[in-house]
Amino acid sequence: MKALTLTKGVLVCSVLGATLFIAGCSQPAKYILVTDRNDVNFADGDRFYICLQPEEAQRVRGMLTLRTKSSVKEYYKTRSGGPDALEEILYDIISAHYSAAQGRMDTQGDSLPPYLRLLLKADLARENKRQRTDPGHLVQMYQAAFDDPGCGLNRDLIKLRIRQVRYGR
Amino acid sequence: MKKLFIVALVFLLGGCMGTSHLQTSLTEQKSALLYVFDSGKIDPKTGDSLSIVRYVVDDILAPDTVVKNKSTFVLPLVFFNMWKQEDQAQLGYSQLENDYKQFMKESFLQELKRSGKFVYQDNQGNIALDISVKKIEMSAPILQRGNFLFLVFFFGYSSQTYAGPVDVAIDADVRVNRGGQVVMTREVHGKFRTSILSGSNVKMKDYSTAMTEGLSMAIKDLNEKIVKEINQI
Repeated sequence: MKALTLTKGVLVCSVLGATLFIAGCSQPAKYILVTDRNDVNFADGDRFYICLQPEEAQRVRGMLTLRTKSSVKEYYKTRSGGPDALEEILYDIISAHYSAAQGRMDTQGDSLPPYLRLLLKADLARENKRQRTDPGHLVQMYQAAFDDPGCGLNRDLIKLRIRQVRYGR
Repeated sequence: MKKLFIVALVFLLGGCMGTSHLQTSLTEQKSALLYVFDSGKIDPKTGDSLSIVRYVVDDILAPDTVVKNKSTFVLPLVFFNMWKQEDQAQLGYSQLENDYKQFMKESFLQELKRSGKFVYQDNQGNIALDISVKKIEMSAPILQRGNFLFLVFFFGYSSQTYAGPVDVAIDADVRVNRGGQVVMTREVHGKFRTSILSGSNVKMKDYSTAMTEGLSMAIKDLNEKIVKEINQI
């Protein structure tokens, strides 16, 4: 009887564990890389899109399809090619390693095109809760990114960001 | 059995948040007026210089948020209970993280410098602008409803909250003088409607933020409309 109860317990734990594991793997990534050609759901207040121009999109094309946390992890194991500041920074952001991304931005951020640098600076300031990241200051940072749109979707994406800042997403 | 009745009573009373409780919950929330300037930039500026001789915002927001009950309906039967409560909130400035009058002035000035066609000058411009903001109206409804079904060995419960849409309307008198002559007198209206927040777990923080969002965006609309009027002189 005791053995049966134990077996049942193990079974329940296993099922629960497997469910949690599957749920964890299929969790959507917070940051999603897109280009002008992608369909973006602006009504989704939980997704943070980063739009890339063709040149940058080409450099990180393998990351454009990553939509879940597990696919982001998997990507890094299989990627080929030498180190690229853009790829490293974007990888850190989409895999939610925000302080690492901030470190790279501080040292290598100048190599990014201005439209991307401005947006990522604002995003990382928010994620890392840096000093002077009160909503007003954050909006100023996003305003700078808005006024240097780069990718065609950026203006709509930044309006969505402002809404996300407002609602604390 | 007695326990289930107590559970039913708790759901009935807890699901239908009282108006005063709603007001207390709202006043605990704070958010900032903010928006991104998305109007087209006019640069370089041409034509006359322009100054703001007066920008007045009357005391149009009350200090504290006020919630008024519009209707309440409760059906307390033995096996089935349902409730519905509708309230209307009016945002108070103590819930704002920034000074709304200051925000209105500064954001208008920024808009003027961004999308205005005239060269802004701190004082003594050829064109003198006099603005008086006299009214801010806000409608922020919230509807809470739910039911409790009790079938002796089984009970079910559901509740739903609909907050918004928040409608904000701002009226301002605008007067423009050029060389001592009045060239424009107009009443300008800024407005905005937010989307509805709905679900079984609508947060008071989001409801409060929706009011601030409505006010921010109505100020944006007002600023843009005033600058558009001025550009037509």
